[in-house]
Amino acid sequence: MAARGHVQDPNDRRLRPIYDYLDNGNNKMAIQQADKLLKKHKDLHCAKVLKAIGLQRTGKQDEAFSLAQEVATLEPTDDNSLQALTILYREMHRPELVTKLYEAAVKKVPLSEEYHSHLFMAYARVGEYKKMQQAGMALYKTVPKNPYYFWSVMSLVMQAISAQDEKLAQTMFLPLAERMVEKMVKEEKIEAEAEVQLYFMILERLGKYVEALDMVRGPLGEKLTSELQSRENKCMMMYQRLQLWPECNALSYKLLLKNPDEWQFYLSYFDSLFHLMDKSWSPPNEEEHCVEGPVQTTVAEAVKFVVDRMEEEDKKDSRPLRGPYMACLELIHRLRQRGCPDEEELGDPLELMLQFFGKFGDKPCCITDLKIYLHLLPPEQHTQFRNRLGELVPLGEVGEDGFGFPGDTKALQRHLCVCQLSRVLGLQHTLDTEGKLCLITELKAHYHYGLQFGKSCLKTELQFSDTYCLMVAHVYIDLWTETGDENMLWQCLGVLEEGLSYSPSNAQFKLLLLLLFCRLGAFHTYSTTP
Amino acid sequence: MDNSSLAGSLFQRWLARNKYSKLRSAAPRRQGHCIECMKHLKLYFYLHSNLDPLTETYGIPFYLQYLAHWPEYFIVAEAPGGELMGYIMGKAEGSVAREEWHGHVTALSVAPEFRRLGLAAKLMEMLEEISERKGGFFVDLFVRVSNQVAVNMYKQLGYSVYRTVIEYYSASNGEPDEDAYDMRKALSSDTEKKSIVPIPHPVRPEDIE
Repeated sequence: MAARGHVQDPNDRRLRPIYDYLDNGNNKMAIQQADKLLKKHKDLHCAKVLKAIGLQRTGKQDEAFSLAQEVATLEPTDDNSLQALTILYREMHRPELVTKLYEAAVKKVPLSEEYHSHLFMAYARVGEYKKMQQAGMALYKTVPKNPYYFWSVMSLVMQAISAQDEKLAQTMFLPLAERMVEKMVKEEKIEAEAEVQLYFMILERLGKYVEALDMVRGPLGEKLTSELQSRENKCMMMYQRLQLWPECNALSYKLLLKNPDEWQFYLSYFDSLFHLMDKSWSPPNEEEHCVEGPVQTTVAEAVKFVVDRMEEEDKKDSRPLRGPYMACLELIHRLRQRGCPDEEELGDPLELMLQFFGKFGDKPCCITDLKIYLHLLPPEQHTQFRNRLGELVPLGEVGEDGFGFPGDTKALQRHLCVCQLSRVLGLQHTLDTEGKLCLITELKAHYHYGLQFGKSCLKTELQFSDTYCLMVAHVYIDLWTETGDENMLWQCLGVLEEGLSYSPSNAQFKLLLLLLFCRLGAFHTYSTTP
Repeated sequence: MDNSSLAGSLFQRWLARNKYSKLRSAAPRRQGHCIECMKHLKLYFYLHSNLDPLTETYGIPFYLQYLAHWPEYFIVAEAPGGELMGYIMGKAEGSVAREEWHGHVTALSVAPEFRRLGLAAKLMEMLEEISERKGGFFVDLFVRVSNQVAVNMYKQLGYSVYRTVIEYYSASNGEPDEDAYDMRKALSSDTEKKSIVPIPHPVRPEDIE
């Protein structure tokens, strides 16, 4: 590309200081320098454009624009002017003018790879997909590099995605894109991973799931290396779309053996297994159930699979994973939905959840996990559950105020989890006013006691006992809603403000305060909350 | 996502070939496209993870750039109930010839409710695996000198302090800028573990490549 050759050098030298001024934000000096230069070389187009940039950046839009147009109408083909004009038009939010610029340049210098690329990018900025497609092919014809060809293909896909008429996408744009890629495949010209990904995307959008699957499982699929598990994820997606339940099941099984914490594969494992059961599917022969390996089709196998995974976690010295235990609860849920009596083989949900709490109760996510499966417990069991959980929380001796406190942060987290579960089960809401006030006293006591564990916390960290404070606030709000007693609301605000003083980064305190202040009509109070 | 990675890799090549070094553009990205893409981003970022004061929240174009250029490094962990547990964002850069081609951790955040599950370690492990596949010599990251919790976590994961970068983090509210540790972990391509030999003197942000 000769344009950037030695012919430009003297100009580069002269223009350099103006570029520097502009980069440093010194627009006045840039304009001055440009003017000086233009006095000596009045046709130095780039200097005019740089001056225009300076003018634009100092707010003199109209002057900048007309100066730029002076240059643009001459249809410049020097790199400096073109790039400078591009930047100016982008700063003016007039990207469509860049397209005109490079359209002209390309007419004058039709073999310029650079100008064709710029033209493509200019069309991309304004979303002119059809022109992008044409520019991409023109570029490819000039310089036959794969990316340019696939820019054109990609533009076709964009036309398909943005088409108002879905039929047009399905009958024209996507098939054309498909044929373009097939041509490259036939000629063995596929190079980059991105090209394979684009091909997959086209086939998927066409609903050609069988072809997509074959492609991913074949040699082209070997290029899919950047993303972890890319091939497996794409295969799984296709199996589900095609309802190939044996393959879906076998692949889920394999992936779960490798990573027993990937929740999505428990779901696909269960989904596929039950689909196969409903269809009374059995493997065609004993050696090979399907291309992905052994398939499981009975409840007994599912139960064994889940139990085995839990046992693996039980045996581990290192940190156990929550996946298998939650999978067990999920399986009970599904069997119950299907009216299948075999759920009893997995155990009593209450006992299982107690075990889960035993293993993971000191983690903040325990409540989030268990919440999903609380519906497995009949209402009559709720109080019993809460009480049994309470027994698993190590609290110290009961003191003067009638409360025993946790000895460390893990015990605190367990106690917190039980309190939160109690709320989720609705046990806090059934208390009468006096009961709620007693609850508040208890929670406040726990909150204040728990602050000692956070004495060395930085102000960017949350206190261990913050959630107690939040719960107190919510019980006050419950009381305010039920009784209409505004004193409850004021108490609530006080409690939250106190919480914030110990834990200045707690976003939930701030959000709740904002909400309450707005309800009270005090809009200005928290306008300065960071 | 497939479409954007093609756009990303080709766009990257196009960018590299273009001398925008002469003039830094002050123009922000066109907002229209960003908003359309945002629908698909599901606004992950404005949830508990980013309400944490030590998690930087960047502009939408920043996140979109990462999704476009390095989608394989953009990993999000979702809990069974659908909540966002945490995420990691990264990239690969540096000269292969100078054995400086490496993976970089741009952002890592775990929501408070999902801490102490080893999730950060898992996300880091995935980023390291991806960097290994790309033939990276090491993985590096920047962390605030005052963020002792994070520094210790990375040390436990096998990272060491390579150098200190003075005033890397600019403060928004009149407070002084904060220094950063540049921490590194060697990958298998760096057989002699040359990349992690610490530099004795601190550097300034301008001196980093």
